[in-house]
Amino acid sequence: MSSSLHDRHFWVVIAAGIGLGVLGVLLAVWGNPLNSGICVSCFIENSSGALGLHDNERMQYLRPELIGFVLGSVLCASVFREFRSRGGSAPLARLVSGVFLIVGSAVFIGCPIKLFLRLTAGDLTAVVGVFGLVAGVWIGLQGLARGIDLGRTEDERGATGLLVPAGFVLLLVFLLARPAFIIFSERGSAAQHAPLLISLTVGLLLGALAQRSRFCITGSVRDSLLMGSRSPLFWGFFAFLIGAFGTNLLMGRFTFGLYGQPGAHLEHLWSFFGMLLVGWLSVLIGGCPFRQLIKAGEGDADAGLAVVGMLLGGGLVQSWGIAATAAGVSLSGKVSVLVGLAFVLVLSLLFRDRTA
Amino acid sequence: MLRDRFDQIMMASLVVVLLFTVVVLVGAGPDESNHVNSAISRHLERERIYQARVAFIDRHFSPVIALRDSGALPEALLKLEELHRTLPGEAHIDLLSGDILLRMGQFDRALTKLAAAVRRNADYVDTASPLSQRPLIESAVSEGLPLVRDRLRSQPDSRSMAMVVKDGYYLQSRLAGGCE
Amino acid sequence: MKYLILILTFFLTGVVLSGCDQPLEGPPIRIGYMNCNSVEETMERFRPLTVYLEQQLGRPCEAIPVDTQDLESRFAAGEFDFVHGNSLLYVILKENHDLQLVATEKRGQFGSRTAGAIIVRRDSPIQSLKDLKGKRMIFGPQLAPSGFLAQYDLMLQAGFDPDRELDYYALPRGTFKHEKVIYAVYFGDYDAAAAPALDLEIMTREGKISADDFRVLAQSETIPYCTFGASKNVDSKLTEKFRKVLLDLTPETTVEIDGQRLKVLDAAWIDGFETLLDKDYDLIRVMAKRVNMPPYQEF
Repeated sequence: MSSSLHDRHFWVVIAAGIGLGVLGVLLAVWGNPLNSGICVSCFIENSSGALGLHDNERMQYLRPELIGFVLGSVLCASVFREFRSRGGSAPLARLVSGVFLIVGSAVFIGCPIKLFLRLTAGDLTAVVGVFGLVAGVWIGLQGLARGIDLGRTEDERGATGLLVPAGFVLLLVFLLARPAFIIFSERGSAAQHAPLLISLTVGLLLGALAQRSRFCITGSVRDSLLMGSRSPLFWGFFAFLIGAFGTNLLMGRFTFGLYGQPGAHLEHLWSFFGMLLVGWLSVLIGGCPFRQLIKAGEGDADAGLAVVGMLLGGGLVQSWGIAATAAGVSLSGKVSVLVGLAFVLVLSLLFRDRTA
Repeated sequence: MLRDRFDQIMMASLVVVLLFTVVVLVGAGPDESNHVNSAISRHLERERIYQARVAFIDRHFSPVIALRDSGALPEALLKLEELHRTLPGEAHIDLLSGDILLRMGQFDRALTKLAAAVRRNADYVDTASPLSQRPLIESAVSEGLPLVRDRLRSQPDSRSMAMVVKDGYYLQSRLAGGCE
Repeated sequence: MKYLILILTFFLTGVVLSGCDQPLEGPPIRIGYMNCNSVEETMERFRPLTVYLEQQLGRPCEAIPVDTQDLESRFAAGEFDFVHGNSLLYVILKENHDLQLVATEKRGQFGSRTAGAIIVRRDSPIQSLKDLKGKRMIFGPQLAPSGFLAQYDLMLQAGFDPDRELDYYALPRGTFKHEKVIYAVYFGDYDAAAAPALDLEIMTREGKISADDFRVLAQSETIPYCTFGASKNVDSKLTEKFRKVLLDLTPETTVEIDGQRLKVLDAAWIDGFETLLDKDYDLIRVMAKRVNMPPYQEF
């Protein structure tokens, strides 16, 4: 740890953690839904709705934060010459994984970032989700240790890594120009948002920090399990928790309890399974939903496909009634999580290198 | 990158296409045949749907509301029974039933009805919606939930009371906000 | 491998056998069902429930229809293990014969509760209970808590003595008494009626009356609805099992009778069952004392 204190990268990780925690809460103070200052899965569902991929009138808004994450990552990677078009590692499997990342998150009602934002706001329903996420990461690590490998990501010709960032530039144009075919909710949770400029700026800042630091929630859990406090991500994650918890307390957003929490249901078993699916998949494809966005910004086409899968998943979870609500988890939600777990099990069987 | 003639033709074509796209976008006027798809039209359409919904509620439920406000609560409930026949599945019936049952002191039934109404129509807890009934729902939760929780404590095996408490927590959660 | 096949064989045999009808064992459980309108209606309503109870309890069950005025004497004579009747009858049997509370029926807007209303026709000049002085009123059967007791008590509490201040009051004869009292007012035969809130609700929902046809002068506080009770001589484990079967019923629960598959709750006109406490019936006790009705009647 003492040697880390002199390592600039260590402090970048800490800054990313604190930034994510503090700004994650502040975005909710500035207008985003309660306990959802940053929620990649909710934002993906909103953005899918804005693009017309589902017709839930309460969940249609092109979230500037998502655009900021990707473009912030692009800009930072470009400045530090880390932008590299790469891909070719089980692309279709990653696309489908992206779908199931959103399925798992939608059944829990939140991505791994929101999981901990909820926890630091006193929402005890998130505790089971934490157990699920850690269990999923642990299982994923067991798989990796036993030879599960989706294949190497290779440098690619033709700048394919630019396609997804270009897509997000287009989304930025849509956000600013507001063409008729992009839908913006006038009521519901999608109508609750921080001012556009603030959301975009925060997204760019966090995107840049996350790209530089490689910060990732499931990556932090993974590194903590593997290396404990020797990992910078362990401290970054700790900084995230402290930042979020402190900001929640300061802003009066801390409400301790199991019941009456915003955007939370009481079906703990399915919260566990949803996050188990997310944690497990995140380890196999190299990052949580947030990390996929950042990597897509760095030119990783495989992550870009995962992002496309996530957008597709965002549309499906709303259209097919998979997304859970405060009323609980629907039958489609339960079946979808189980199908997702079956998918990741098949993936583990098919992509295992048994020769080692 | 532009090694040979083919590359140059491709690049030139790309520039032309991009310029033409810009010209088309900039030069495009209001498209009358596509008027229905314009953002303003969508906004107006949503506004009209809202107004129609408010007018629908006013037309069908104002007799119930009048009875309720005059204190004729049993008659208001009977009027809702009639509306059940003509408007099956209508969320506002559940909402008004919950309101009236709350006034009658039937907290458990009120919570169940109000939860059913909110499940069908989230506008009832949406501050931004003209159909918002937040004060009613907040009142039901603040008055009714402690009572039904106490009841459940005295009858821990009562499945129906557990369902009522669950409905109360659902309303509490919806009032708190979240992504739905 | 051999062991695996053996285990699978036993398992499959068990699965197959469990699907076969198990023979019912033990002496029959006798369930007395209070007749609301007729024996035929009672059996049609409660036979599916009784057959379902049989299947779940693993013992033969006998559905015995019984008239309201005979229920207490036949219960005292030990004819029933379980009874289903209105909440006043529960109080009577509880006080006089230590009936054990099993479960309360849910139906209508008030769930496991109901109320008694005093109604007049919409165009009636009667505006309050005081205006009933010198008028003609029709009540439901005397042992009906929401057809007689609640309304009589409501009037006494308002300082109006029906026996002294009404010109005349009657109780209808025959079947469908609750509907008759409501129609009696509608057709102008009586000035006011004691109508159960549930019957008003059901008749409105079925289109038999309109909500605009009547005014409700007053309505009582809510009291528990129809109730299942168990004789104190029944084994407590059986009572508990009986209760659990009732509480586990859902609108989708079905039973096969004579080649027909019927929804148990639907057939019985019930929305479900709930557990109440004995003290939830205290209001009926208070009303019965005030009105001088059984089990507190003094002569």
